[in-house]
Parts: sequence; structure tokens; C-alpha cells
Amino acid sequence: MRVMSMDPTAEPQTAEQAGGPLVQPAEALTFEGWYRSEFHQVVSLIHVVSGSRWAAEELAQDAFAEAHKRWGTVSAYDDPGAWVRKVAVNRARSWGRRKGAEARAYAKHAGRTRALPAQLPPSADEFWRLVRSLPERQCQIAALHYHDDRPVDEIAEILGISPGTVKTQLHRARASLAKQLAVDAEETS
Amino acid sequence: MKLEEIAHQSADAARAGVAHLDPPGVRAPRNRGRMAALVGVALLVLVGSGVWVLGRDGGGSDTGEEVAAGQVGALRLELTDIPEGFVRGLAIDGQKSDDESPLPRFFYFGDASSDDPYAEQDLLIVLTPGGVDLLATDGDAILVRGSEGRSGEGLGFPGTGLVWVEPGGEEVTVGLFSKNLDTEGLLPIAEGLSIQGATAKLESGSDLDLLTTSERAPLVSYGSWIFYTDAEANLGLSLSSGAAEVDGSFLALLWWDSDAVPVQINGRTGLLGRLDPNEAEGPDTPAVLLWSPAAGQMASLAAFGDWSLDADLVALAESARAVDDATWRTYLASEPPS
Repeated sequence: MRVMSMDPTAEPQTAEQAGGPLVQPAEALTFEGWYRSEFHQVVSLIHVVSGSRWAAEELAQDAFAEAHKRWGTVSAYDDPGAWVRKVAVNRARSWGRRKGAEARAYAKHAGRTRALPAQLPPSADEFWRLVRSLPERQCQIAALHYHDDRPVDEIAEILGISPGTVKTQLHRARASLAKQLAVDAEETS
Repeated sequence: MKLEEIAHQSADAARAGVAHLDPPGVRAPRNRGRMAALVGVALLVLVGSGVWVLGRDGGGSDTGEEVAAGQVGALRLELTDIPEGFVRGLAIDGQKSDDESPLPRFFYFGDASSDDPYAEQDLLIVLTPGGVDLLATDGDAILVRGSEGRSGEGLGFPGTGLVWVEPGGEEVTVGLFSKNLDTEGLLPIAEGLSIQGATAKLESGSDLDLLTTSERAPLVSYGSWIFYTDAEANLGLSLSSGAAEVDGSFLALLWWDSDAVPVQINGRTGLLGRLDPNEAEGPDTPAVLLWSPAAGQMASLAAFGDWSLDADLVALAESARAVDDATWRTYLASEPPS
């Protein structure tokens, strides 16, 4: 049994440590398999949050590198994907202040690839631009909700805020987006 | 069409946009590549450097004779003396950020009577309005002014940090950072701090002098870059240029965060050093040269490898010349070496 926690400083606890019988996971989670299954979704998430595909790949890789470094702990979480999103979103948050990630991406591009990032279709680009124009917390919540289909309690866990705050901010984000897009803000969750 | 439909279609498009990517091998968290950290460091200090130079000595001659006349914001440079074995790589025009999120305000404290005002005592206070927090994933939980905060290193700026969200009518996230003080030294400063709106004042009687403040972060993506690499892409040069359209935000931070020394580039003052210990460590730490080639302009040249700081890099920088628009367009259209 693993204990849900995303505190990167916390040590994973087993049921044995908690006083219960030790239960080994039926299938050990390998970093490589997990990384490959999560990579695209995290890059895409950070793309819509940061607005930069260059930076998204770099920031996501930074977050996965952190996960790799702490894999013994991270792999014990119920949802390692939530942990890596927390790290990536935090890094994207400071990206606007220190755009070293984008610069590193430029440099890597200069050194080893010919392919330029694909552009989003105009309608999607406009939607995510509006999301990024929201207050930062609303932007993060909207991205995790719309892009990642994360429920309120998981968004709260990732961002380290209360579910009530998530609900309030998501409601405001919806209203703002609907107004700017001149569409119905029907809430489905 | 409903908002949810638009959102889901947009999410599908975003995911499709990265579906072709092949996940790269996970790298080591630090010193992952010379070229990788090279430009990161260069950009980190690019904008503030120009302001620093201009602010320290007036920027030297304002005639801009060393470079062809370029419009503010459109200056693009290239090296005319490329080292043997190097080839010109990608050229990029940065785009001005449209990020409207709240920007932090910086307050720098030190010893105003010292030639090196941050050497003995230093304090950086960062106020970020709107409750946009600086809390990182690292750091120890700590109670500050009755609010939960974080303390420790790696909280977004060099040194020891103490970060918390100050409650009130308008939330503001407060960060205290110092390279001389530890958490125990920062806590009483935090407790005695007076925070009113976007202003932070230390408790009266503090030994620290307010040296400068800045109200916004620099727009470091606003400029142009050209890269040069050797055949193995292990050694690299990054030359960047652009307008000094900042208010000095990084002026104090650069000074606080580096051991750069002044040098002369075609008669104009620049800074030379190995910068940003957060980005790279050890012998591969990039050498970065920053200078103002003309009034209102800034440039940086960053290099990895066995560079002689006092000769090679300065000589390379002195060979930088402005590129006309037509030539730059051909550079932009050129594919980088594979």
C-alpha cells in the first residue's frame, strides 16, 4: 500500500511502516515506462500554460529529471504524474521571469535539430492565449482542468491549494473565458 | 458552441502538436550540456548588463560608431572573426512577451558605504502581487508572520530564501533572499518587515541600506541571437543583442549574483565573468561577456570551453558588427547544422 503524498521531501511509507502488512506492488513502476507514457501530456500541458513550445519541452524535461533523481520516492506516490506536473507548473510559473529554459531550448535547437515546433491551429491558439491571459492561478487551474481533465481535488493537490479555492477560481476562469469567447459557460463538473 | 467543447478541441490540438516528439533521454539535472546552459546564462543577464554598463559609467561613447546604425530594438550583431573550426548556426529573433501576469518588485539592501555593497551584508526582497507565490517544491515548511512559508536554498534566487504569502486585502507573496544570512537571520527581518501594497520597509534601526528597487522584470526574450558551434557542438558561442528597454531590474541582481569584472570592448565598458552558479558549475561554467555596443543597446557573448577570458572572448566581441536586414533574413532562413 502506498500513501498518497506529493511532498518531494517526504519519504514513501509502506503499510508495514504504518503498522500494517507489507504489500508489494504487483508490478514495479519503471521510470522509463512512466516517463514515456507521461512525456507528451506534460509537454503539452506546459505548452498551454507557458505559451512556448520551446520552453515547454525544456521545462518538462527539467521536471522529469527531478523525478528521475528522486525516483525512489516519486515512484511510491499513488500518482507520480501529479508530482511531475506540480514541479513542471512551478517551473513554468517562474519561466516568465527567467526565460533561461527557452534560451536553452534555442541553443539545443541550434545544435542538433532541424524541426521547428508545430504551431497550434488558430482557434486552439486563441483559446490557450485567453487562458494565459487569466490571473496566473486561474490559468494553471484552467489548464489542468481543460487540458489534463484533472478533477478538482487533484488540481488542489497539484497546486497546493484547497479544493474550494480551485472551485472558485475555476468558476471565475470559466466565466471570463466564456465572456471573451462569447459562448455559453455551461459547467460540466 | 459551448465553452467545454472549445476547450476540449483546443486540448486535443495541443496534445496533437507534441505527439510527434520522441522523448529524449533524461539528462542529469545539472551541467547537462555546454550549449544548453550557455545561452541560458547569457540571456539571464543580458538585459540588465546593458543598463549596468550605462548606469555605471555612462556607457562610454554614445555615437555607436562601432556598429552600424540600427534602430532601437532591431540591432542585430554577428561575429566577423569566427574561431577556426566553428560554423554559424541558428539565428533567432526573440519575440516580446505578451505575458500580462503580475510582475514582482525587487528591493535590494546592502552596505551603501562599501565598494562591494553586497559583500558583507545583503538582502533581496521580492514582492509579487496577486498572491502569485514563489513557493518552490523544495524548502522547509516554516511559520512566518503567522503564515505558512518555506525556507532554505533553491527558492528561486541565490542564497538562503524565506518565502510566504502575506495575507490582507490584496495578497502579496514575499520572498527574502540573502547570501550572508541564514534562515535564523532572515526570520527576524521578516517579522519586523512593514509591507504596504507594493512597498516593503525594514524595521527602523536596521543595518541594511536600501540600494535600489525595480518594479518589473526584464524582457529577456526581446532581442536577437546568433549561435556558433564547433563540429561536435561541444563548444559554442552565443551572441545576442537587443534594446536596453528595462529599468534596471537586473542591474542590482547581476551585481549581487556574479563576480563579473569590468573590461573594455572597443572603448566601451563591459562585464566579463562566469555567471549564474545556479545554471552551471565547475570548469564548464560558461564565460559571459556583456557590453553596450551603442546607447540604448546591449549585447552579450557567451562561450563554453577552454576560453581565455581576457583575450579570446574580448577579441571576439570586438569583432562583432551589425548585420543589415537582408543578410539577417538569410540567416533566419538558414537551417542550423544537423
